[in-house]
Amino acid sequence: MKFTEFTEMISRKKKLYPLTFFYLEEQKSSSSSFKKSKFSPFYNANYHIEPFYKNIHRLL
Amino acid sequence: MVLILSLKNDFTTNLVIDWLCFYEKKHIRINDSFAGVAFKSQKKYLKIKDGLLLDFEHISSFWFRKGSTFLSTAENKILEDENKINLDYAQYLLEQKHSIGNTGGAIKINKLIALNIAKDCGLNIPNSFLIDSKDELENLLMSNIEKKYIIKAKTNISMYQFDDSSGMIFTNEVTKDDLEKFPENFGSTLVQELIEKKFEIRSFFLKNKIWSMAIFSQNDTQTQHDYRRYNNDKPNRNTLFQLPSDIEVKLRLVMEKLNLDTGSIDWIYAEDDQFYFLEVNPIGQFTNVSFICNYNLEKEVAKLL
Repeated sequence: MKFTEFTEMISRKKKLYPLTFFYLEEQKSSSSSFKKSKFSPFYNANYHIEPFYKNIHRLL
Repeated sequence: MVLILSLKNDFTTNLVIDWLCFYEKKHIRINDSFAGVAFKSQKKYLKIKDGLLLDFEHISSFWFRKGSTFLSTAENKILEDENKINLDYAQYLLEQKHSIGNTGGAIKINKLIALNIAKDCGLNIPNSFLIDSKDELENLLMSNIEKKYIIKAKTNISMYQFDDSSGMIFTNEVTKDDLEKFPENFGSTLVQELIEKKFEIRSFFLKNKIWSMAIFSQNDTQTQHDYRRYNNDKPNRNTLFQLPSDIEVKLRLVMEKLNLDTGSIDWIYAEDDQFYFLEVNPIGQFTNVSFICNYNLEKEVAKLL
């Protein structure tokens, strides 16, 4: 199911869904702004951890 | 053999496996769920997938990170009842193993029950309401004009995967101006009084040990209601934090009552200098806490397996 199909379904069956679903926000992980982020896309954007994790034990 | 049940995209599992390699602990990672169980003579096997069996005796420890242990695929109720006995027995056998996250609580976790238990254990929680009509919501908002309210997901799932993208449910403030876009009746929604915070805290709980991180999300309008609305250009300041010992004692009690041996706990340190328990997620992310605070939590998990 596509994101818009799901939001359309929520619109058709508003009585069934909690209000939180009316605030569902699309997250396009392939968007250019996401890719351009200076920080890690993995967790809270503070560290770019990807280059390190694969061999983390070798850093000891 | 360390058995891990996780999901394909769970990055934290990769990091723990790095440490298992370092400690030279044999391991097997299964994503999503086990295929079932098989019994042959005196032997009992976990069915990894068709044609691949793992002898229960070869499992030294088990980490239930994410996923579902077993999915029922029976085509009718009679077969489902039959199958359930097998799967419950397999679940029991797994519970006999040295394990993390396999205490049964993770499957049954309920945010509303967790709030009740936290309150019973002496922790502060936000005033919480379950509301399913616009009239009730309007009544709450209008009769408490001086207060603010938020709505948040009742489940521990806040991200939904779709064919073309994903959808995220954040915590949002709800005001009387929002009422006109709501239907008269809707699915029961968790509404909580907004606690004005000095900062947020994320704790990781593992076998009675607790590691915490303070998140200064309140000064950024983008993150003030939900720090997961990450500001990539100017990230929130995060730092190590030590919860007071009396709060940690109460948290251990909450986790015991919820039958959880691990989990990620969200707190608010409020303007009134009180700690407020928000929720516990048994399968929550902890690598952010681990990396930022240099806690090496993945190593702690690997050591215990």
